Amino acid sequence: MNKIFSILNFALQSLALHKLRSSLTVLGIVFGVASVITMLAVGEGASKAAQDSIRKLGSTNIIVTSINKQEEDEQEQRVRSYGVTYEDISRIKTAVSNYTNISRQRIYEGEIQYYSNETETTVIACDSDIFKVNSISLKKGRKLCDLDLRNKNNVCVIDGSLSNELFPYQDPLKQKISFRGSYYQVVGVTKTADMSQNFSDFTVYIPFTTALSNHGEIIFNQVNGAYSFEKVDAHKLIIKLPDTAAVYSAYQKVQRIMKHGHPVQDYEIQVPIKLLEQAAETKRMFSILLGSIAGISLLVGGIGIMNIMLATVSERTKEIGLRRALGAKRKDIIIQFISEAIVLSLIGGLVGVFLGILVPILITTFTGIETQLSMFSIALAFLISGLTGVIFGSYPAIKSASLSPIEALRDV
Amino acid sequence: MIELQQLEKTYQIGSQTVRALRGVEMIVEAREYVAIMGASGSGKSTLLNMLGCLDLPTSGNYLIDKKDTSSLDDDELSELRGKKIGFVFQSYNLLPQFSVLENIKLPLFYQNGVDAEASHQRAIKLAHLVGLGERLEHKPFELSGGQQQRVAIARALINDPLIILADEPTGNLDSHTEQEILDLFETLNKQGKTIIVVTHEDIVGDRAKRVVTMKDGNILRDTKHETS
Ligand SMILES: Nc1ncnc2c1ncn2[C@@H]1O[C@H](COP(=O)(O)OP(=O)(O)OP(=O)(O)O)[C@@H](O)[C@H]1O
Ligand SMILES: [Mg+2]
Repeated sequence: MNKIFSILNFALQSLALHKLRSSLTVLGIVFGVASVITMLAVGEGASKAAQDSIRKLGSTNIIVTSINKQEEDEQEQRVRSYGVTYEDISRIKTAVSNYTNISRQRIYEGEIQYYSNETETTVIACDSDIFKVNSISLKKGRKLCDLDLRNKNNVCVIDGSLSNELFPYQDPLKQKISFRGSYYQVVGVTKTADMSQNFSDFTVYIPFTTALSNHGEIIFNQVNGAYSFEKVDAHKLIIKLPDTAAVYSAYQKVQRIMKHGHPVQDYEIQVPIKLLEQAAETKRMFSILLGSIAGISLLVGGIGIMNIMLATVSERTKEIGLRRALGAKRKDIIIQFISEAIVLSLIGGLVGVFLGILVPILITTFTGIETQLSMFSIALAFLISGLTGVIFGSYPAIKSASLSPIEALRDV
Repeated sequence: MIELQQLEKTYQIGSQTVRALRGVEMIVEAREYVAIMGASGSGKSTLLNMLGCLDLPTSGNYLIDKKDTSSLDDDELSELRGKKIGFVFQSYNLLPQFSVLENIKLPLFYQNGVDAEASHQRAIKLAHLVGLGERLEHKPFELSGGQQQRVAIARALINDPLIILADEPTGNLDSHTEQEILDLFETLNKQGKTIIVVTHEDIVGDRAKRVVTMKDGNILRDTKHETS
């Protein structure tokens, strides 16, 4: 232990003798290690963000979205008709297993009123399964149920932030809000905003059947001052399968069914789990790429160390000869030079780790890009910098020790 | 204590062969103070390097304490140098990054089982012995040539070697400083150290108890003066 300490002490003293040269050598390792950690943190952060957003869609879901493929000028006055039809839905229902939750969605954009209070919202007409397929949980009251749909009840579930907006000081339950001339009694409040929706604004859920009877088959929407009339049976159809294995076979069935009645592909089928797999594959590619870049930068750092150690050896041949004369064995000389190389690269590693922790934090604070530091990458970078020292320090060390004492001493 | 038998050393430089030592026979007993003299190129340094096990003879035998060194491998030779031989060089060969005290202690680093505290005290004592007790923390470049050579002598003594080998130890020093170093050698010899000095200066040779004169790789003369 004492011996190790004095070896390190010797190494530090020798390196301190050439501070500038030592620190320039260290720089190569510093940047190598810092870039490894930073790149892995950025890569990890990006893939985590991607995976999170995919998971929000539901990893056992299949989502069929209606898409309007008609030309702009065609749209002017006519009622646009496109997307998922009732026929598609009933075929899909019969094709997929019983353990499946399905929810249709019709989406209305408009204002809801509570006395004189008017608020822009998204009103989603849906089946009772929506709470299962989109994993929506309630803070208060109850969900929509099959009875609501069968009886076309004028009830709604509103999201938590809308509840705070409309009813800051009162109990939202049993209150009635109006939408396009129909009143809906609030029966439940959701805990969080529905993450599967792209809009972050207020959401109101009403029974699908109630919406049809109150507002008709034609959907009128006014977005940014432009009117549109649409004949769409469902804007979205979300199918939740019992497990991931069922997703693939269901996906093929849904694909076949949808192809059948749609000469123009006015729909899109999303399978989050496939996206997740793609994300994993992308991440793998990304890691290989980053790994190679990191490897190259560490290699460059390592060659820098070897270069400096070689220069040091020829400069210090006389010192080697002296130490041999004073009783140093070959292995003592090897240990000395390798430990100098290791000290150099570990100092570089430490500073590099410090920078590698700092830079991702700076990136996140200044650009908002998500980064994810992992202990693994820090350990890896540090280990590699240590190994770089051993590997690239060995050759100069062995070379220096191979000299006979008198050859080394005579060197001027 | 030391015995050389038919020691030969030849150097090959390209097609040319240089016979630096041509069958040297010599015995050195404990407590002797020997000066090796002779013209430049006569083989003095080559001989001293053999005595210090820094180089291997081409043929012949070298015995230390009746033990033949030709049977030793590189590690054993290193150990032998560390334990039994103290070197003093013409150019001092101190390590610039180390202080006086650290330079004196350097050989201990390659010895096993050294008592750190005892050896520290010993190094301080040796520094005082060579007259550098007040300069323990100085770096070599802060010292004069004579002072640096004293550090080197203290370093040679730290492992309490059988023998001290010095190659032109006063070659770089003025005559006054030279006298001081020679005084030191004399003191050490009186205390029982065996000393072998290579020199081409008569002043140095005169202070030794025995003078071995070399010529063309052989011993020309071997004289003892019992006085001084
Ligand atoms: N490494 C070497 N390679 C080739 N020849 C050498 C080598 N070392 C010494 N010699 C030769 O061996 C002979 C003896 O050299 P040595 O250094 O022992 O002389 P010296 O007596 O110490 O001389 P000086 O008083 O100049 O130091 C010389 O002819 C020298 O050229
Ligand atoms: Mg010489």
